[in-house]
Amino acid sequence: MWVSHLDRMRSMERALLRADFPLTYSKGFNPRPQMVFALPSSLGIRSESEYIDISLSEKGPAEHLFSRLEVQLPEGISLMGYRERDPENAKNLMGQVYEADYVFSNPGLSEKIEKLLVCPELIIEKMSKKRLKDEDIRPLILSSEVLDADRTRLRVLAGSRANLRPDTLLQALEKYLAYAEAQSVDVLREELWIKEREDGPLIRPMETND
Amino acid sequence: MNQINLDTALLRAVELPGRYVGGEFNQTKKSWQDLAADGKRLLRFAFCFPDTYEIGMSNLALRILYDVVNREEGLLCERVFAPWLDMKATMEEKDIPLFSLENHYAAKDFDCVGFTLSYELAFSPTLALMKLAGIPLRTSERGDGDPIIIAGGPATYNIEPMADFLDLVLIGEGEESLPELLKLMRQMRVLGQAPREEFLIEASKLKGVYVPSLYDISYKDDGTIEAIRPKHGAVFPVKKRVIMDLDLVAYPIKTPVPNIRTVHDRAFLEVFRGCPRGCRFCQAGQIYRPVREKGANVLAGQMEAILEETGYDEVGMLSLSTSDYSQLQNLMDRVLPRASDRKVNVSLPSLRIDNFSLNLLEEISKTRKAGLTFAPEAGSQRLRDVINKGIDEDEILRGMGLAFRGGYRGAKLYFMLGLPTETDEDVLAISALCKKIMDVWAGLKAEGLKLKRPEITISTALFIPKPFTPFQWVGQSTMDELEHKVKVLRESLPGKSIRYNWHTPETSRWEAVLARGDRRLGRVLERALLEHDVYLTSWEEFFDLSIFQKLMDEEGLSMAFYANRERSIDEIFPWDILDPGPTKAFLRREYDKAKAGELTDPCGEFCSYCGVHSWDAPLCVRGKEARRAR
Ligand code: SF4
Repeated sequence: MWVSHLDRMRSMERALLRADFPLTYSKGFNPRPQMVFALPSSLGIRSESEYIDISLSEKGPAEHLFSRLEVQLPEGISLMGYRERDPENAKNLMGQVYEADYVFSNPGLSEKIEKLLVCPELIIEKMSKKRLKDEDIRPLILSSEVLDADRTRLRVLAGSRANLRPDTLLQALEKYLAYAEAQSVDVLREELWIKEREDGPLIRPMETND
Repeated sequence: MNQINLDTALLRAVELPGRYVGGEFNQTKKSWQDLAADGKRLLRFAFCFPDTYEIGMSNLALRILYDVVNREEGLLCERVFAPWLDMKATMEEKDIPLFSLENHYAAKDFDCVGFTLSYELAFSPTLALMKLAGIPLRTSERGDGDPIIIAGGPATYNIEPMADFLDLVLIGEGEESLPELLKLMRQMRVLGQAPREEFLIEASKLKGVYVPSLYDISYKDDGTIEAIRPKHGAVFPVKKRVIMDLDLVAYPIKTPVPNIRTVHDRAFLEVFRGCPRGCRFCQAGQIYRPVREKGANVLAGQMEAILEETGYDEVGMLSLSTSDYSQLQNLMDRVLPRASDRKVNVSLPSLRIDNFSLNLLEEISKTRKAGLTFAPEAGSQRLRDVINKGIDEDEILRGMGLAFRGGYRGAKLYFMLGLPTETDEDVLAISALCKKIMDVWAGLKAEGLKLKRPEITISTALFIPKPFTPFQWVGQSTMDELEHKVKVLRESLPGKSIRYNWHTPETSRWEAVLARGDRRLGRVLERALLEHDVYLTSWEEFFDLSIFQKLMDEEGLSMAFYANRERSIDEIFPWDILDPGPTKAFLRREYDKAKAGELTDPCGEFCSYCGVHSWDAPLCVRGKEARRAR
């Protein structure tokens, strides 16, 4: 939860090497194991929906690999499940991500989020290409569901086309509602939603059948 | 017990929160509640590195000692690092005391806090961390509820400026002495109720343990030391601890694998300790004597095991002078095929620039030509002879020729300014050497070789005379002298193909003061912390010499007395309390030979009878049987 995406990639690589996975490597000066995260998650949030696509150099019983990897992970990371994909048909998981569910929680938070979502626009300063830029994040929020007084689930756009970073929502809480506890809000990425074809239905990554 | 809770908002607000949360693979996490076989609690030891997580985790001593202490069932070791400035400010504001990484216990609740001191600029951060932990700074102010504060590491070979703050210092290699000491501490302070003083006197009887409060120092009117008087039967001098057979001692295999990038983010293999060269400016070359090599088969096995247990994709071979390892070819033959199977990079620092090394570099980096780095240290042959840097100009030029042919664009060359006997001519010789290297390049170009434009970078650092070296008697160059030398060098360098870096000399001057300092400097270090909040002096950007200058003046002390003064032959040094092996007589011989420009042969085939010959290390025996060194 407290490491950057790059650092997480490195620790996954090391875990895979410890588990002795038959990895395939990129070409070039500095060959890296071929491994793709569906959607990088930002520092300071919890996640139950990290999907990693790993290409292997040989076919073998996946449950062995799974149990080998399980014991090689650093504190705070655990495996939820796995699925074999056919390298011939498998599409790049990263490009298929469209939406994500985040649960925001903090005492009395739901009311705040409700108020926030009434705003027609939520302009947040964002770093892009080393320059600060204003961005309206309101259109990135698709729907909300109040779970209880403290917890709200938001469905947001995610992936390479349009993506809401959950920390920008915390910024919006600070900016529009002067919410002093914004940085204490717990953020959980609950699920990612992908489409196999642009006009296809939204499904969970584990449901894909490529 | 005080387990610190780092809340989400706090961690989101600091740079690199991964520094503070631990949870690395292979970390050892024993609980405060654990009991040993005797039914009593573990002794709690905090290993404190007085710099950031990224630097501390790149430290071999930390990996070794964390491992040896945690191997003992009665001992618990957790790591503590220096928080970055943003975190430190938050901790001070919110009254969060310094805490350990594994369980976030408050450092002051441990039985013992140990600092590893890699060099003198770690003194100030050490005091700052004690304050942040809420531990009284002075030994005399600490009571039975406070931890025992210990230290070890290269900078403890003259630890006198820190003498009033440290209860006890481990001199020499710690993998045997640290567990011994902690076991005694458990016996006396966890199972028994021994008061601090009683424990310290008992501990001072262990080999390699120095308890500063058991020695009284008196000074003459001229400021030099009159006498060192041991009390309570304390040994004098305190002999360093060394491990004679490195193949037999435990080496860390399952080391914690950092979750964030660190400075040296790789596996380490320690190839040998000590150095056979005997460069006269080099403290490590003296204090780590004698040379003790590890077997190539042991190293190859350890490499395999470490890679398996850590998943690292790079391994660094560590030693003071890798080219001098007698089984280097054998080691590489074993290691390189496995490394290339596993797509693991091997890095070999401290190579000499000769045919063999270049071939080796070629082999380990088939595709990438990383930069070459080497250290002639001085520009003229005369001065290189003075410092006993056994490399001559032909070797350098031949090596550079081979490097250019091999596809290297150039090299980084390291020099020191302010070496004993240095004149402007020696300084000018640095640029002359650069010109000759450019001529080599031009010559090859004229032969029709396709060469890229050469890139030569030179760096100069201010020479710091260190204790237990043949130059322990000499004065450091003053700031004015140094400025003059830098100017001479800069103006003489030919054109654009040569880049010149030099670091501000302020830190080197303060390092020189502390390196040969005495107990009176403790007051300056203490006031720098309490009155000026001096913290990470090891980071140039936070270093302010004027604070120390002002405090020295106020305390009636002089920087020149410590840094720039040439000592007389019979002067009693603050570090005479310790004995790292080489005798004063040997160092004096070496100093005289330096002044005469005479070389001393490296250990191995020869022996110079430096003082450690009675320890019967295998290499020294070989040398003694052969013949006396030049
Ligand atoms: S005893 Fe001889 S061989 Fe051994 S370290 Fe000293 S000089 Fe070198």
